[in-house]
Amino acid sequence: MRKGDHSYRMDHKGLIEESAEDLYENAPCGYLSTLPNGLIVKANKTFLKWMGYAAEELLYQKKFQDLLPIGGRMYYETHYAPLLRMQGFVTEINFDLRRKKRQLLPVLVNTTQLKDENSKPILNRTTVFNITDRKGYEKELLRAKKQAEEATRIKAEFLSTVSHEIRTPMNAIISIANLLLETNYTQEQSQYLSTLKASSENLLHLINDILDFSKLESGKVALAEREVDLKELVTSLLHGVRIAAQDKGLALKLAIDKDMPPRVLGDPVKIGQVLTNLLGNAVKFTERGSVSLELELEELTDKEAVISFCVEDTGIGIPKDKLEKVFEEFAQADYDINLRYGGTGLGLSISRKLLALYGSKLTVKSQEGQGSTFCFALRLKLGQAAPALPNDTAAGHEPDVAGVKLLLVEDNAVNVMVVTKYFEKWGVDFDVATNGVAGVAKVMEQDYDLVLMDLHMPEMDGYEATAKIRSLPESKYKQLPIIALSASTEKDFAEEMAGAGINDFISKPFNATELRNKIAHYAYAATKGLPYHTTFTGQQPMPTAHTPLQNPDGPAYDLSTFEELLGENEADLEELVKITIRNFEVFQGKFQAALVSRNLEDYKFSCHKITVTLGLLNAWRLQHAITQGKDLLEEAATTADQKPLDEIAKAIHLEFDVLLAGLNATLLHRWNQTDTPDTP
Amino acid sequence: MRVTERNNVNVRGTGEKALIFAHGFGCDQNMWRFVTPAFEDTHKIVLFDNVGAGKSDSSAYNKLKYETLQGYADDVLEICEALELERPVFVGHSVSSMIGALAAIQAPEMFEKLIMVGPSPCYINKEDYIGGFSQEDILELLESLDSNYLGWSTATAPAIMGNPDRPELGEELTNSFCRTNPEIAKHFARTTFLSDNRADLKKLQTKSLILQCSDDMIAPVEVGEFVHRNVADSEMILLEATGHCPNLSAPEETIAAIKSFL
Repeated sequence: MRKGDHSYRMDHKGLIEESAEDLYENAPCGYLSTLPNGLIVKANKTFLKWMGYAAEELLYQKKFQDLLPIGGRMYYETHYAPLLRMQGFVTEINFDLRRKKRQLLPVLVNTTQLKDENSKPILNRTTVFNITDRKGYEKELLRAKKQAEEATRIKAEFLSTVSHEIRTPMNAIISIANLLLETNYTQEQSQYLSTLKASSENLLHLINDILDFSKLESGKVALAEREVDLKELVTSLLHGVRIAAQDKGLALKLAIDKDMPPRVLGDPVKIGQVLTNLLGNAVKFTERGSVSLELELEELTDKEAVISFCVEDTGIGIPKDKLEKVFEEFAQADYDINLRYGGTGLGLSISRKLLALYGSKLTVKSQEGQGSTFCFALRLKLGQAAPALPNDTAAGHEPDVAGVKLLLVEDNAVNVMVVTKYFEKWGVDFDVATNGVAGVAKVMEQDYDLVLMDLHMPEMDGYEATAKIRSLPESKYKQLPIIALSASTEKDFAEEMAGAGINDFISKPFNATELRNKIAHYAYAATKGLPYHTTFTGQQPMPTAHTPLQNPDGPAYDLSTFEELLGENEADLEELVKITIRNFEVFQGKFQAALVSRNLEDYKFSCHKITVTLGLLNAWRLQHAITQGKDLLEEAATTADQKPLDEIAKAIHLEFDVLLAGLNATLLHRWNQTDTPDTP
Repeated sequence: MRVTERNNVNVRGTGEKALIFAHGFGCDQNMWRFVTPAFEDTHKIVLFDNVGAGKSDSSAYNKLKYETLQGYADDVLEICEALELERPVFVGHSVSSMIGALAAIQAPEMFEKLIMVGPSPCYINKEDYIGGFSQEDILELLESLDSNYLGWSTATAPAIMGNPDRPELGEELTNSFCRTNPEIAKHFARTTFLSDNRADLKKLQTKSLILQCSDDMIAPVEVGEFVHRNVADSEMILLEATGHCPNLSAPEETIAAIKSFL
């Protein structure tokens, strides 16, 4: 038996050796042995078959990297080889191998390095998997992913467009309700009106939430960095919920750390939005007791502070199992909540997303029936301790606008009616023009203190009308304050407005106080011939903007006028530079297009829009080139010679490049910022 | 943010004189692991990761700043200032050779000497200049970066899917030496391979050594010779080592060459 056993084993040994050889040669994967420099010294049949090479063509003839197309070879040299040497092995690196007949074979490669006793590499052993099929799937998956992302983007855009569209009629509804409330009405009508007003305000709130949400979703929201007095900010926020709290008999408490730095750098709008949402919820879900806001200083260095914000209430609380759910979009703790309290269920989700922009997280602690506490912490840079400049639009008194001479350019009859009702109330002396053409004509006919300009009108839109007014020869037209009215949000069109020479912007549906304050601000400055604080770039009446070209060989530009304009306000200056960069990027393209297509009209249009900004930047070289271009283009009607036009196009492009590079560098070095537009 | 954290700066060694080792495109400071021990008894060794690579703080990555190699050169100077280094010697591999050269041009007094391992001032063939590549080649590289970062390779999969079943592979493997955020890797590749710093070479005053490999497809011998011809105060050593990373494939030869120049 023993002997038999032995021979049995011997037989098997032979079989095993034979099958190991067979397995090596015919395995469903390729095997390769290479020297450390990549030279192939052994390869199995499977690999040779895949690649279409005979053994003698490959062994000691080619390196592994010789089988790679050039991009793969660069990857081999910069990633694969170093990684293999450092790690001793490499797993699942994706290469395309070039077959003898030139087609590519997608493979995954695993390599182990064999070392001698001095741990010097002597041989690399590589296993090669053919992934032709998987590559196909990957491509298909990628395609499907792109398709899905595109579809989501289109939907989001649709949502955003529709919401914008809804805001315009909402303006009319809310404003009319306000006006009606100021007329004589019966008790019954009063109730109807209050309901109408409250419902439409709710609806507007909802639409704004949806808009915010879709913007956050599409990554179009960026944080501004401005000097913020936190104490002032939170006090005014509390003021906003005071009436609602008083109606319910709730106490409002505010506690601020006594060491709180007076000013920090942050985005007051976004921080305010989050806190308003939390405070609003707290009041909404609390029937008795109090709502308190607490600001605590957690960390303070000479550069930045970490501040925690907590909103605590004594309301209904949130059941434990629903704590995370409240942050999901369109979700409230339960269906009854929606019935009883209303709301979109978007507020907390928006707040959480906004805070994520700050790298912060909104957390909640709650006990059902006892109340909830929502907290978040922000790391904010310190601002300068300088007190805020007195501002004529500060709350407290209603500025007098009686007797201001104003032109309203607006095509929508409902809007005209609403706005003019306010004007009548305030004693504003106004005229109305129903489109851009009529608006420009009116401005030429009469002197106004101020123009309110709708942006989207038939025949001639607000941008064009403003640009026309700015390009009128007399200097008073450069100084006339023009405020845009639009249902779009300011950020979306800041560039165009700046380009057109619009000074400021009021969003529809507008807030009557804001409208009144802005009229007062600009009209007062205009009547006294004072410079006014403005929002956009291209508008400030600057004598230098229209002085003739002095020194075409001087520096490309300088920021001195910008600095004079804005004084010490670095944040505004930064914003101004950013806006200018975007502005120039657009115009760089426009000038090229106009020159290539020899479109004099477009060219001149762009000239009008950019001249003031160039003046502000003292960018004489570019201004000079653009003027030359205009002359050439005018002559070009009578000549076929394209060469001078090409040359000037190149020169303009180059000057824009120089300016953009300089401005971008300023942005980087002065504020450590890059230009990331809010809108793509 | 502190410069030393931003660039994951590591200082070791016992000497007075500092040697700064800068890694090239692809991996991180580990590229120098076979070379630096030879200098630890005699020098202060400064190692760092370019922003976006290794354990640097990739939140400091800024497309505009790193659009050109000058952005990386600024970082090098900031590291020298932060560590208060006295006339250090800069050793740069691959693209970091040019980064070092740009830093030395900007601050001519900063470095005592410059050692460039496999430098190339311009990778793309232009007129009568041979850089070794065409524009299309670079696009191909970007594509292979794409497939290697998105191709479910296990080197990156843990980053995407976590690695719950094989915790032992956690740090060591997944934090592998050549892992970079794919977007940053692509941008760095573009910045690197589309750079043209030929004109800068003539401005370089610092005494320089060029270490050229024998069979380097990334920086061929012609390129090394070009650098040598154009840098006024330079020497060139042609290594027997092949490939682009003599610091890994032939550390002894690399060490000897560096020592001969110090």
